[in-house]
Amino acid sequence: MSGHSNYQPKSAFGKWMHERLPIMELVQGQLLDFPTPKNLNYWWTFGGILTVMLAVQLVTGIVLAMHYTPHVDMAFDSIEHIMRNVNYGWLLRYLHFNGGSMFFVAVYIHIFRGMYYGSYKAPREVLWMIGVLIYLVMMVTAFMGYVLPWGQMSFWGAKVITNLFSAIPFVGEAVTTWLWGGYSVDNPTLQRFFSLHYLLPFVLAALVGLHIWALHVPGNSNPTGVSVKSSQDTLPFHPYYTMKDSFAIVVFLLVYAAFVFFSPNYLGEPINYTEANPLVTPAHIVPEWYYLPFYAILRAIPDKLGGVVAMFGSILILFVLPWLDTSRVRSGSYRPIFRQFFWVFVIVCIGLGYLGSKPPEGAYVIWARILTAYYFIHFLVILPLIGLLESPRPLPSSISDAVLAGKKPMAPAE
Amino acid sequence: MIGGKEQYLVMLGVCTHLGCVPIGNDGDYAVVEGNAKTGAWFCPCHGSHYDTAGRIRKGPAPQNLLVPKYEYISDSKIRVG
Repeated sequence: MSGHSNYQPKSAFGKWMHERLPIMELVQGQLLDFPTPKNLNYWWTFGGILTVMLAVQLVTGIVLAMHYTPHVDMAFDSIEHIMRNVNYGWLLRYLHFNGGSMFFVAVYIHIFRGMYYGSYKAPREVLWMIGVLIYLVMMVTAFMGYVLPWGQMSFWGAKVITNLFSAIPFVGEAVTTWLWGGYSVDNPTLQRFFSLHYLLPFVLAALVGLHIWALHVPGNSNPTGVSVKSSQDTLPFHPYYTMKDSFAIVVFLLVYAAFVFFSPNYLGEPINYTEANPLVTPAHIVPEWYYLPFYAILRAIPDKLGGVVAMFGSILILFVLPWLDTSRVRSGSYRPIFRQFFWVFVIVCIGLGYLGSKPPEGAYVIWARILTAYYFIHFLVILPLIGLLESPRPLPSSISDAVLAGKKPMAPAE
Repeated sequence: MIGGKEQYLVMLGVCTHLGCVPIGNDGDYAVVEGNAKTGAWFCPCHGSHYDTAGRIRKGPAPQNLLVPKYEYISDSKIRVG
């Protein structure tokens, strides 16, 4: 990270420290004075929101782990112990449980923002790929966390998801047994999931560090997609964006608090308050809402291996998105055709989520197949083609020009 | 060993797709008499339909319900495995 400040230690201690560990130079250059495009809109505040959510999950999770017991005979009861006996245990657990959902709300908005404004394009491909990796680790972490209460949905979710690996030819069964630590989902499975659920958030924190590092090399993209050309185009991060981000964070926390205090179980499944029973599968099992689109893709393919490949493929395809989009124009605001297909894609993703929550019967299956096909066509056919065929609108000559012209690039509607 | 006991079906109640427990007397291949369905299995997780003999007929499951090695050691006792 190159410095963006002419940091000069003022105090004697500051000088002493600077010669040994120039951390204040890093803080001033990367956090306070960091030149940031002056036209960032509120869609750019979700990076800060996500950092706050990771911190909230870490703090509440570490305290919850002090009261939780990772054993099949005691896990379910220890959750009720947290809810009833531990001081503010209900608050900790509801914060953590809903915090996971809000974390995914923020990450989905963050990802779609990146897609709309072409934030994955050169020179930010590595930044984008680290982001996809963060998203994958988030999904694994959230899945393992959901298993810990050892309710019916925890158990059957764990069984189905781990069984996905049994679709791998030849070694599938051995891999699944290895993941379980036995011949079924049982105590060894619960204990290793607890261990990993505690570990992975710290891996996430490290990946977030890399993500920010990769962000600070080229700097932020912006709603026009035009690169920063002079200091006229930027503002120091502090106080301009510390304020803007703080405001967005407070608004986001309000929504989060509304869930925690007024409908803490809205995003959960009531059946998970029934203790795990390995002999009875609930009549209608669904994963948490943030996995539903991928669950719909899994079920759309009437073949075990095919379904698993399509499901993982739908996430892994994001890694190569920077090379699938052939347009040189970054921002969707200047790409009239792309913009329409972007919104179709958003609707398709939401549609897949809806279908994932429905039973795998009749018209739901047919629609899931159509939308699954469209999901892949969007990446593999539509994006490469419109990049070549569409004529983009003229770009402003600089960020500063775009702002002064008062011609605000179109922001996506909610 | 199974002679004379053909009316009983011994199978592993675990869906060969992703390991859920299929619901008995349900699915597209059950025998329908009025409102009641008998025989056949339906897996609620991803919609696999097995017929009255536990054969996969529809859905993502790759195999029939597994039949374990078993024997009758008396009229009312089975040893599985």
